[in-house]
Amino acid sequence: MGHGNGIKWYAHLELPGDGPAAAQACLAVEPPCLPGSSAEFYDAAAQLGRRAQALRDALGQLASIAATEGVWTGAAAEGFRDVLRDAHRSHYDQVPQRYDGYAAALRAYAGALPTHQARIDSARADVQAVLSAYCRVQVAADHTYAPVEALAVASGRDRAVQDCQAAALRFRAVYNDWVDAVAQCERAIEKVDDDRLHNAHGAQVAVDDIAAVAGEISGLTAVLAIAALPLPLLSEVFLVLSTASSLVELAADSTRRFQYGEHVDWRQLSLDALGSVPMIKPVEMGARAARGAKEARVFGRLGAGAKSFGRTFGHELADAYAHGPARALSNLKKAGFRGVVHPSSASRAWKSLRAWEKQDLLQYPAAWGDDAWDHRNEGVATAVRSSAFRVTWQPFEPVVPAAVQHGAERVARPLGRLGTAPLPDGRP
Amino acid sequence: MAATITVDIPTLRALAAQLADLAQLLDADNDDATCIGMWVSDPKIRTALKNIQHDWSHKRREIVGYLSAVGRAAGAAADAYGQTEQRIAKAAGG
Repeated sequence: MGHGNGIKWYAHLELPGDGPAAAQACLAVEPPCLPGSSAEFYDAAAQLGRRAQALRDALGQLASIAATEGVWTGAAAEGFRDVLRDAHRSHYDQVPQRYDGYAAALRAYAGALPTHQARIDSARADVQAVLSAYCRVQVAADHTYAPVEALAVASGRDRAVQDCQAAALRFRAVYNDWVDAVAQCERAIEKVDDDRLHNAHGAQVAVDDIAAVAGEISGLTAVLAIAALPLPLLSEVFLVLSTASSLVELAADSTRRFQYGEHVDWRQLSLDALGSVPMIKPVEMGARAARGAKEARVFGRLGAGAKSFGRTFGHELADAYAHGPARALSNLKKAGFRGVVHPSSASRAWKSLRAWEKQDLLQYPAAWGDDAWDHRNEGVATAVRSSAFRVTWQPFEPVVPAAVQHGAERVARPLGRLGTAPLPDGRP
Repeated sequence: MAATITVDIPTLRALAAQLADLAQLLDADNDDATCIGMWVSDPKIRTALKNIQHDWSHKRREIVGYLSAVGRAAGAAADAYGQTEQRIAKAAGG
């Protein structure tokens, strides 16, 4: 038996070259008796099988309840079905298979164990017998003085040594067969882990971390891009960062779903994809930021509610959401836009924001396209890029209209150059 | 009215109990004292079973939570339907 990390592992038996020493090594081998019994392993396998069947039955019953759509209707039915998950998509249906896998491994080992035990017992008895014979010959040799007798004893001793060697080799073979059987059982158990249930490890952990960090950066920079609109250059930098990190998040989430089979739904992938389109993420986050600010009454008291807001969203995001707009407004005031920020505009802003909450993200491209169509006489490229900013800032317009127009137009110009070719008539 | 309303309350209650038991068993299957590794006395196979059980701890926790939640929902539904039936029967009886 070998030792590793405090765990005893069975090792193949190695024998010394000398026959009697080899026989001694066989008798000293650990464990002297094979651990466990066939009945014990069969019992464990049966228990695991029952567990698998119970899980299968329960998941089947839940699936049949989930399939009652149209038969069982009403709020209670909807509420109950909301709790239910698709066992296949969430990989729950692999749990019974896992238990069945354990059971199969144990059952196979349980089936082979009595044979191994019998062969080892038999081989051990043989070793014991030949070693005893060798000891008797050795004692006889010690008390033999006549040359003729000495020759016979020497011959007998040689034979006993060879017998020891042969018995030890037979013991080694059957013992190592048992070690192989345990290893095979262990491998069969480990093979069960090929399913989609196992914890993330290795590269998968790194990919999970990348997705999480990229998501945070993308969200934060999207908010900052909106907050920094009065500072166009900074806003543009944040916008590029947000787009780039959304692309990274999309790649990482795709890997998590398709490579590692993690539960990343299409909604998440769609949001990642949309976030990688310039301005989409800032719009989404901007709307959320504004709603958060609304809860914290940031516009009403210019950051006075940031404390309660921060409790909800966490320090980093709270800083961007609550202080960012407040700083932006403060900067606007300093820059001479005092007239545009006044308490009465807040109520109109909230009305507008509430409407934005309804449309949130999905209607944004439609609104963008609609606005671009209305302004198609300005030229396709100009209409598309200026529409993006008109639609983007629509909910905030009652609060800071002049600053927004100014900042948005300045950001739009370089982005428009990046995204669209100059028109044939030479317009930018 | 074409549809038939049938609520098998004992079955619903049994399902709730079954899910709660199952959640408890799955949880216990990784407990130090009761884990499936302890069901066998071979130290190597025991360690293999313990390791493999540990390796899906996140998903198992999720499933245990799910089974518990659905079990509670089924129990609540059984209670609610039971009370409704009693009230309707009482009202109908005058």
